[in-house]
Amino acid sequence: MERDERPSERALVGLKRFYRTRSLLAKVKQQRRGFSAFFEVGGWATFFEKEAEKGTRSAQPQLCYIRFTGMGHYRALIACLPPAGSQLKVQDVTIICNRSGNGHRPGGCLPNSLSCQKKKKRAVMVFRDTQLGRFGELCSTHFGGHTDVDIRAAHALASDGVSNPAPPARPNLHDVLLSKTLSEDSDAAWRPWATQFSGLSARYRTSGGHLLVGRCTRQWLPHPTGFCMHEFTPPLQYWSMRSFAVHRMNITNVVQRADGTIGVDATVQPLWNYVLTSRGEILVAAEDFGWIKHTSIAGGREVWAAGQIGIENSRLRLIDLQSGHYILGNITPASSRANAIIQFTEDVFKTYFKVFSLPKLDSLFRCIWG
Amino acid sequence: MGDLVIDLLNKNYDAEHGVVNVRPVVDALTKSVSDPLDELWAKFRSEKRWHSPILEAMRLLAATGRCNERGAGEILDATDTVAQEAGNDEYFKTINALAVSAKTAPTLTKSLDRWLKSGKDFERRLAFYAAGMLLEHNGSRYLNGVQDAVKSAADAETSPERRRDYMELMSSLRQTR
Repeated sequence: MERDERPSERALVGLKRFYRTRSLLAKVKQQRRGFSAFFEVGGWATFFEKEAEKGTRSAQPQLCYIRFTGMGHYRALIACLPPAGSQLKVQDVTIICNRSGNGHRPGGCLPNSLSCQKKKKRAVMVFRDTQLGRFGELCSTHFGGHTDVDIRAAHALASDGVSNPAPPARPNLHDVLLSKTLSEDSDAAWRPWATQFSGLSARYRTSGGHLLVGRCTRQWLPHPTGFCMHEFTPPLQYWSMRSFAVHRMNITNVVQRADGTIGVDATVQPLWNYVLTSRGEILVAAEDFGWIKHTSIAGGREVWAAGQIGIENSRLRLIDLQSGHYILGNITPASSRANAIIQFTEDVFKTYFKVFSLPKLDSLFRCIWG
Repeated sequence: MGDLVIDLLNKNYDAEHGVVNVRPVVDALTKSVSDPLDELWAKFRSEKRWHSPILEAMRLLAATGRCNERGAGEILDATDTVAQEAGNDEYFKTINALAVSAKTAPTLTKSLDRWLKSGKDFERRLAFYAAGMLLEHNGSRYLNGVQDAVKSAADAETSPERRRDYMELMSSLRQTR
């Protein structure tokens, strides 16, 4: 049975994810800034910034969403909660740590740490353009009322951000989804697409096609087989294809191979991954840090198809079905199942572009295996 | 010369996305050294922290016909290493790269044969994936010598869906002989 992906359910998925990650603690001590705290990977935490020299605590707690981005990297979005009515400022901090035992120590030297030092970047980020847009506004709208901010975040997610106190008027989940062209139910073009997609998916099901379950391609010791850390780390930025196709297709990453065929050139970075959700939305995100996988975009849920996007001259030239989690190893290339999913995915993309009147589909567009 | 690879990798590191844009690295290497693959392989062995982008660069050289059989073997060795760090989908990416070039496809066939004979589940999936890719891009040209092993392995598959895939693949092999 097809799942409904209305915002309320997305929020619920977030809530489950939130609780499931509670045991994954990482101690990050960032000595230069003089604070230490326990952060939950993939979850929210508060900390009090401590002035190292004076040893005092600032009066205002800070809210942190920390993401494990792979290979000892963490990316922390630290929301410095402002006085009522002022703009929310978000620090984007990259923390590089060594993995050691059950915890993580700072000071590691990794490929993107050219000087082997912690790098820090301050940025005032547009709230809805970040991962905060997915869960963060829910958390911030519920910042008052409970003593434990983690519990507040969980309640906020559970209640779908219904509390939207004014002022300060921050975007609620509906506003955020709308701004990312992800609020299907309020989009006039969504219903015709939903009708079309229903027909396409029904036909695909008749030919034996089905939703695909994600299976992680690596083992996360000591966790059991099947545990997937990727699905706990949503992309920092992601879009619907409607939004991506209009604003983001400004690279060329199609390569002609030795046998004359074309494919997605995975050496051109960032690599753009897509998933086709159960409801028919196409979500796109970059494979940041080599870490954001298809299950990250799909939140670990079943999808119809997943792969990479090939762009040529700012037009969508091809897509493939290269997803380690969902497809490779599960479907054999050159089989009828492979041919069926290729045809289905190609039909979905062509129809999607047509229904939403997206202009940037190349006339030679096709879906390939890989 | 050895630092050229590292300098290029550093230069093309994209801090925003945490990745190396490898394409310019390959383009620059191709222009400046006689054997880019050799340079990359040497750096792969000595520079653990750049494993993933170097392997990606090697794959591009293979996929575009700039890699011989020896280089294909090195790419497979590099894949073993990277897969331990990043996950077993690295094998599929390497198979994709090796299957599309006549210079590297024979090496892939040898690996396929080895995977089939291992009797292990994942290796069997790899073997059939490789067989499917070789069939799709080259017909049965590189698969004639492994058909018996393919049949035995297909019989050993316990997943009904994958077994059906494998039987179809064998049928296609017979038809394209």
